This record gives sequence, C-alpha cells and structure tokens, in this order.
Amino acid sequence: MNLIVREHISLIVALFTILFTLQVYFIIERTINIYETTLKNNYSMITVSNTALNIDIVRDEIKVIDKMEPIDPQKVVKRLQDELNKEDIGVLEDNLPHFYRVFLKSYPTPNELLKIKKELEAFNGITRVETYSKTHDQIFKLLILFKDISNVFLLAIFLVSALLVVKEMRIWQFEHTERMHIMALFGAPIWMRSAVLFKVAILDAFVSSILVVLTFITLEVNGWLHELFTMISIDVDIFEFFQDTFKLLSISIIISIILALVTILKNRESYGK
Amino acid sequence: MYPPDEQTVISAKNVSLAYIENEPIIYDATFTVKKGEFVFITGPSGSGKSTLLKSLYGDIKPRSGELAITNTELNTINESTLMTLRQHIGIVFQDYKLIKEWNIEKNVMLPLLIAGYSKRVCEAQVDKLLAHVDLYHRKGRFPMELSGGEQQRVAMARALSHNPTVILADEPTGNLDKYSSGVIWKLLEGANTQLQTTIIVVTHDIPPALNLEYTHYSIHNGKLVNEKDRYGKMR
Repeated sequence: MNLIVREHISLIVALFTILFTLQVYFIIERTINIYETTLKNNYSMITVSNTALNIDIVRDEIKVIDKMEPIDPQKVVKRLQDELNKEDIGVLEDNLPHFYRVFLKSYPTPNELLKIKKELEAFNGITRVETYSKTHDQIFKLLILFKDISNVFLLAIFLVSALLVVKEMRIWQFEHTERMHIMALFGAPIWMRSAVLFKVAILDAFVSSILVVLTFITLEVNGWLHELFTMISIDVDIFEFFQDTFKLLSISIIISIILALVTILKNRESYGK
Repeated sequence: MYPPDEQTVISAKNVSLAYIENEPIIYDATFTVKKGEFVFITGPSGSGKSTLLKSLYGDIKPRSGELAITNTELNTINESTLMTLRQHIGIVFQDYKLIKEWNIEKNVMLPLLIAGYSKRVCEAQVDKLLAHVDLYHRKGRFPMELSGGEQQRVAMARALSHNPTVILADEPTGNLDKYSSGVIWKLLEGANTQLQTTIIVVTHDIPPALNLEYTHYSIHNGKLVNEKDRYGKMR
C-alpha cells in the first residue's frame, strides 16, 4: 500500500506546489488590476478654458478621455464670498473661466499624461491643464513596482515549476520504466503500457487540483486574507470558483500529460535495439 | 534445420550477437528447438547465455544470421509484431521481475490482461495457478512481502498463466535455496511433460534430479556447442 501512496505522492506534491504558487500569482494579478482600476477612477485632471468647450468634440479628438464634467463656478465663488465684496464677486463671476474635470479610460503613463496635456492645450480656448503630475508619477511608479514584482514572481513560478517538472520526469523515469519494461516483456502494446501512466497522471492532476481548490476555499471562508486586503481598501476575490478551478485543473492535466508523454517516448527508445 | 518446419519453435542459423560492433559475444550459433523440447544452455559467467536468451525474446537483435521464433523472423521485427510474439512466450528471470506496485494476483494476471481475457476468466485462471504454486493464500500480498522462493513461484505462475508456446528461463534458481530451487524445477518439468510447453533454461548447473529427457547446449568462447555432439548421449 505504501508503494501505491509513494507512487502518487511525489507528483501530487509537485503539482500542488506549482498550482498553489500559480493561484497566489492570480490573486496578485487581480489585486494589481483592482488597484489600477481604483487609481484610474480616482484620477482626474482639471482643464481651464476661456470659452465653453464642446465636450463631445474634445472626446472625439482625444480618444483616451472617458468623460469630462464641467465644474460649477459657483462653488469657487461661494468660497470667496467672505473675503470679497459683492461688486468684486460680480466682476469675478463675469470673468471666471470654465473649469472641467477630465476622467481617462485608463491610468496613464507619465508620457501619455504629457501627450494628453499637450493635446488639450492645443484646443482653442484652453488656457491651462492641471495634471497633478508629481503625485501621479509617484503613484504610477508604485504601480509599476507592483507589476514588476508580479512579473518577477511569475518568472520564479515558471522556473520553480520547470525544475519540479524536470525532477518529476526523472522520478517517473525511475518509477515507471521498470513496470513498463516488464509489461513490454510480456507483449503489452504501447497503449496498454501508457494507460497505467495516464491513469496515474490524470488521477494525480485531479487530486492536486482539488487540494489547492480546498486550500483556497478555506482561506476565502476563513476571512483572514480578506481582512488583509480590506486594510489596503481592496476587495479582491481570493478564489473565483469556476474560473480558477478550470484554470488550475487544465494546467495540472497539461503538466501531467506532458510528463506521461515524455516518459512513454523515452521508454519507447529502449525497444528494438 | 533452416527454414523451420511446423514442429520447430526456434530456429537459428549463423546467428551473431553483440552489444558493440565487431565484438560478438555469440557468433555463428546454429540450432533448432522443437515443440515440447526441454533445452538447457550452460556456460560460465559472462559467456553470453543470457544474451542468447535475450535475443529469443527480442530484447537484442542479431547482428548477423537468421533467427526465428514460432516462425516469426526476429532480425527485422517491428515493435508491434514483437509485442504480439511475446504474448506467446513466458519468461522467468533470476531477479523475478515482478511489478512491485501490483499485488500477486495482478502480477500473475498480467499476460492474461494483455491477451484480452475477461476479468472472470483471468481470476479463475490466476486462482488455479496460485493454488498450483501453493500461493493462493497470499494472492493479495505485494512482491516485497514474499520470500525470494515465493516470488519466483509467482513469476512461474505468471509465465504459465497464458499457456505459452515456449518458456524462456534465465537462471530461474540462481537466487534460491535448495528447497525453492527444487520447487521451480518441478514446475518447469510439469509444464513440459503435462502441457508440452517448450522450455529453454539458461543455467550454471543442470539439476541432477531432473526426471526427463533434455537437450544440452553449452557456450565456449562465444560458440554454441551441442553437448550430445561432444559426448554422444542425452536426447
């Protein structure tokens, strides 16, 4: 019985490690996407114009603009009511330019921001565009840092997975070649010798996927990770049941089948010397 | 005699075997084995006995000459035909070659599963054979849980399970004590006398208590010699 358990356990452990780190990567990717969307939604620039702008024309010209909202000048005037007399306020109201808040479709890079600024400034009547570039640049750099860390993590996952798969291939060569050779000595055709291997591969792929799914469902139900994300005001799905289960199972089955195929092909070479 | 007739199970003509080009282990071997014949191949360690046996189940191809088993040419055989041919051969090894992840019952069942018999037929045949080798009570055990002698009895039951045309045994008693060796020789003798199975055994020593006629080849310096020709006795 121990032999049967040992036969499965090494592949299940390797697959579990790969799938677990992949799911962590999915969560990080999701978090970064949510963070980027939040940044995009919270970011806007202010445009000052001497004349009233036709918002539709501006949006047609500059495609990255999601929406433009005029800012009510009375809000500015009200703030100054205590400091100015009625006459001055009247003059101010007559000469006050038009203010617009500009929202973008995506969170821009500093270069994109500069380009949008120039395009806006080229419009007739626009006298000033405030992009708050210093704050934007700092936040953008932080976002890029997160994305870079995520990519390095993905590369690390790829390398660790490759090493685990190569190691597993060696173990499989050792564990299964003898059985396949004995079966061949008694005339088992290649499909029959391989069937055992595919059975182990598919079974282990399912078991490891189920274990990872259960682990992340437990983390989701436990709420500990959610609390961590809530602290940074991000509401992320730790485990999207159907989507993530499908992804993990597919990856697991693909890795297992590659393992089985390599073992079969290497084993095939031993015959007909 | 070449080409073989219907009664010929194995025929070899000027067969040379080598692992390295131009360094033959066996050369110019010419012999035939008839249906129901019991053949011993003896020789010192490293003389090429096991290599010769390997060539008979297609694990090594002849470098030259013509070799056929049950009228199937082994020189040009492809993997698919080789697998079909092996389904008519029973092989016994010195190191048993049992599948350690499978229990005894499944190990003995292997040739029957390959031949495509139904589960019911397989189980009935395995039960009968395990009773014959006195291991029915241990059919759920795994190879590592058995002694060497018991493992070799399992290997014998497996070799007999599909009623093969020929059994090839490579030093079947090499790792066994006197009692277990006696049991294995009795099983081989029974298969030959009761089932008319052709048997070829590679061994260091021919057991003295064997109660049947046999052919004896020995290998000297890569040459296969029929001992009858040397001493003018036996079959």
